Amino acid sequence: MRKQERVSSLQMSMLFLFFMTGSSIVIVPAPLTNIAGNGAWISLLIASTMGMILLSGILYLNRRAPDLSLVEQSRSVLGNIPTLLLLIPFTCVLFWNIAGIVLEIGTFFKSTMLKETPTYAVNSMFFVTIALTALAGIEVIARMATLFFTLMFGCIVLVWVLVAGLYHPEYLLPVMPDGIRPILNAAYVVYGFPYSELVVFSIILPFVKSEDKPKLSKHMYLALIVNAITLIVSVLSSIMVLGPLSGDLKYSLYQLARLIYFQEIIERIESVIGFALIIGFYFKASILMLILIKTLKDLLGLKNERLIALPVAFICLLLSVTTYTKEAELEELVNLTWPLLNNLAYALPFLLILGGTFIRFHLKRGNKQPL
Amino acid sequence: MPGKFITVLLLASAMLAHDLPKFKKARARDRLVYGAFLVPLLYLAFIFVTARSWPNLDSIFNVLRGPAQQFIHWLNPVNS
Repeated sequence: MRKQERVSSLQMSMLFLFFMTGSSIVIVPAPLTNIAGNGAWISLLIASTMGMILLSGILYLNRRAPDLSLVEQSRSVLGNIPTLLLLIPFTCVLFWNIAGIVLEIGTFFKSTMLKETPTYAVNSMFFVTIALTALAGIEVIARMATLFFTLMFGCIVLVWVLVAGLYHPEYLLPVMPDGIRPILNAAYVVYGFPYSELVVFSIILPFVKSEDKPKLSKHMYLALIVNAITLIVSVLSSIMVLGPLSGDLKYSLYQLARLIYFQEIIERIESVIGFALIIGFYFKASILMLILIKTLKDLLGLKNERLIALPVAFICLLLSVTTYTKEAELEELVNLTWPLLNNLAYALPFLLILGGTFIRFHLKRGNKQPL
Repeated sequence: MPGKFITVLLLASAMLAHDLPKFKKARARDRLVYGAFLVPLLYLAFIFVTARSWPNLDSIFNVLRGPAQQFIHWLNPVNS
């Protein structure tokens, strides 16, 4: 968050991969297989293609104005008042997005490991950590990501490998027993979470070192492909192990970890895997907090954005304990309203800014200078 | 309720202890924004501690439930 902070394109793509995979690896497989059944992997392919299109949009904007965030680009293309009108809902949804991730962590802990602990105690501890991480800045987060990336993805691969003995490839068939409609429905859900959320990443892309900018596109696309592959393999392994039950059991990867039994040496390792998976939630929430603080700084013209970090984190904490406190309500929001909300609050302003930039740069022939 | 109240009190004290020295040195605009953030914070803290079902962000989000349901029905009539 300090002015001189810069990260390499590889670090930025690692943050992006964490952002995209972090919480979705735990949450997405179950509702996806519940709706689309064995065709869940097709839904993921459709949604990740949509994500790829959005990513190409944010990379296009970044190429046009490498040093400007989405807010500054909006100001430059649309003007001050439209920027405020478009980005106030964007910011409100961003506030809840962070709260929602921690709400999911709280629910995950409540139903798996810390059954007697009040959710607000878990959420408070998380928000203290998230706020301190965001205060440390993007460089520190990027350096931490290198270490935690190995831990989290190592544990995911470990689960895939250690449950290999329980795989029943025949469970994968038939692929589309109910036709294409459930697959499209599941694609809508997974597009809402996490793919349409990637738009907010355009706020922190200017942090990439200028000498690394040419490699950024390649690294970001690669990160999105790795994310899609990770989610697809997780969905496939959960279907191959749990069969028709995979849609009914929440936190599929954690459920798979519970089944690990290897020569009486490796068993009951689900808590270790659970904590490794929590890293993803923590990272995603920290990156989002950083994005929110940067958005507020640009939007409100703040000089010292570090001053508002703690009140912002506190508001997010209070949102996480006062909204959607019932699990069923949260599930309904994620599966029903969240994709539409994201489209209106995140994708729509982004597409308007993208359209404005495109018109300004390509159609007004005499105006080819950078924004 | 006492647990919630103590949690809010502890976090608020920690926040103010951390922010007050910076607040004193901050620009007027930054101070104004900080003060403005305290309004929703106090409102949410009150809702949380007293467990009231007053308007919140979810009330706004729930407005979109109807249109989202219609879209899902159009996409997959069986599931809706």
